[in-house]
Formats: sequence, structure tokens, C-alpha cells
Amino acid sequence: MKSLIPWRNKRQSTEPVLWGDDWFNNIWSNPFGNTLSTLLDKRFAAMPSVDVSEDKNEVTVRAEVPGMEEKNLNLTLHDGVLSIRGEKKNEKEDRKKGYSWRECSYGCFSRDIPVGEGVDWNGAKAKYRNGVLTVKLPKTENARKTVEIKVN
Amino acid sequence: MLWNLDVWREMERLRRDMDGLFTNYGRTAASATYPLINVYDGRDEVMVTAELPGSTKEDVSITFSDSVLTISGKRIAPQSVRNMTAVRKERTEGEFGKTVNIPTKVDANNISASFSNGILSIRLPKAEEVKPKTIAIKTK
Repeated sequence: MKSLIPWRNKRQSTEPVLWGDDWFNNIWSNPFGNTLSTLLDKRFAAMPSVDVSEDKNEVTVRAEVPGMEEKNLNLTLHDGVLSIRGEKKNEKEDRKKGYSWRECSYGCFSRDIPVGEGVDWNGAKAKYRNGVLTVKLPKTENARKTVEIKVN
Repeated sequence: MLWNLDVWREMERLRRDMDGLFTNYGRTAASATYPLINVYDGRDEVMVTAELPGSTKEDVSITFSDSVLTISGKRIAPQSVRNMTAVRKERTEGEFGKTVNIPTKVDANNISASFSNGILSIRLPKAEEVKPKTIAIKTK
């Protein structure tokens, strides 16, 4: 660990992103693609890691979103794509204290995960426990069927 | 759209790895290993938080020795999921361990830890002798 230097939030820097003082100051500590990363950090503050597994009856999606509140998680299903969106808020207490070392990211995140067309949104169940969001999507009748195709 | 997001993710990862070569001798916050941690240096305590999604207090052990805090444990996918076919696997499994050097003297007997929504918070109260002292000004 580096010595305990107070951590400064890069995302709080003022606009414009591309040519501000911050950009110039950071180019030495952040030689590759600072402009790109600044833009990306704003849009994708945190990208949760996701596991998808399936069996005959359902598709299960598990996303790592520690430190969230259920009300800040938003799930949508469209065209066979499950979208998980949310905002991970930094605790106020922490901000007051000041960071010395920071690896966790905060802010809005969004993840689009293909789950296939054959899932039934009406039977979908989601739960948030121990920092993991689990979404269970039952397969539709058609998707459960295995059709044997004969080769002539 | 889907494709797009994954490309951004990969580019961001690559960018962070490249930055890591030039700062901190390859070790940066961005290339940090599991679990990700934050360290706060407060007035009376040092607080370390670790993101351990999916773990419970039974899965994690914390030790403190000679100013080094160690968080270790093992994580395995639940049985219900292991019976299914993996379509996408981004979460890692297995044993993990991380050490944090606490560069201030702490009261080792009063370290406390709590777990909430996958976030482990460890509070290390500072030793009396390193806490800031208020000096009263006497009037003559």
C-alpha cells in the first residue's frame, strides 16, 4: 500500500473533460488514454461481474453488486437481453473520513446480458443477498422442448 | 449494444493494465486483486472495507499481526448453480487472500469487523499515543 495520501476523486473534477487542467495534470500519472478513461469512468463507474448458467427449466443470472440497496437496482428484459442498472452510492460516512486507498468504484453502472429469447418474464424472480443479485428466468414451453431433427 | 459494452469493458481493462506499468510498479488500484478494498484513515481509527459479494462471515477470516491485516477465505459457487451449465463465467472462485499494511499504531485488542450486503468493514482503533491531542491553552 502507498503511504496514506488522501485520495482525490477524479470524477469530481470539473468539465471539460478533454482539455481541462485535470487532464494535463493527470497525463503523467495516467499516460495511456486518459481522455478515454475519463469518459468511460463517467459512464461505467462499475461493471459488475456476472455469471449466467442454465438448465432445462431456467436461466440464472448472478451479478456481483456489493453494498447496494434493493431499491437502487433496476432490472429490465427486452429482446432476450437482461439489463441490470443501478447506482452504487458511497456511504456519507466514508466521504467525510477521506480515503487513503481506494479500489472500489462507485456511481452508476449498467450491464446488458444476453439470456436468449426463450425466457418468460412473468415468472422471473430476483433476490438480492450478501451483495449478489440473483435473477431466475424460467424458460418458456417452447424453449424447453428438445426437437430431434432427422438427417436424410 | 451488447457487443459494444463488452468492448468498452475490455478497453478499459487494458487501459488500466497499461497505466499500471508506469505507476506503482505495476500495482495499481485498477489491477487490484480480489477482494477490492478501500482504506480510510480517520481521526480515531483506520477503517478497511472489502467487497466480498456472495460471502458470509463464516467464509472469511481476518487476522492482524505486526501491523499487517490479512483477509482470506474461499468462495465456491452454490450447489444449485454448480448443477447447471455455465453460459458465462466472470466471477472467480477458489481461495483468496489479501494483506493490507496498516502504517499507524492500532489497538490490536479492539479491532472489530462487520458484514453487510457483501461488504466487510474492519475498524482498527488507533492506539492512544498516535491519536491527535488537543492542547489546552492556559491563561496566566
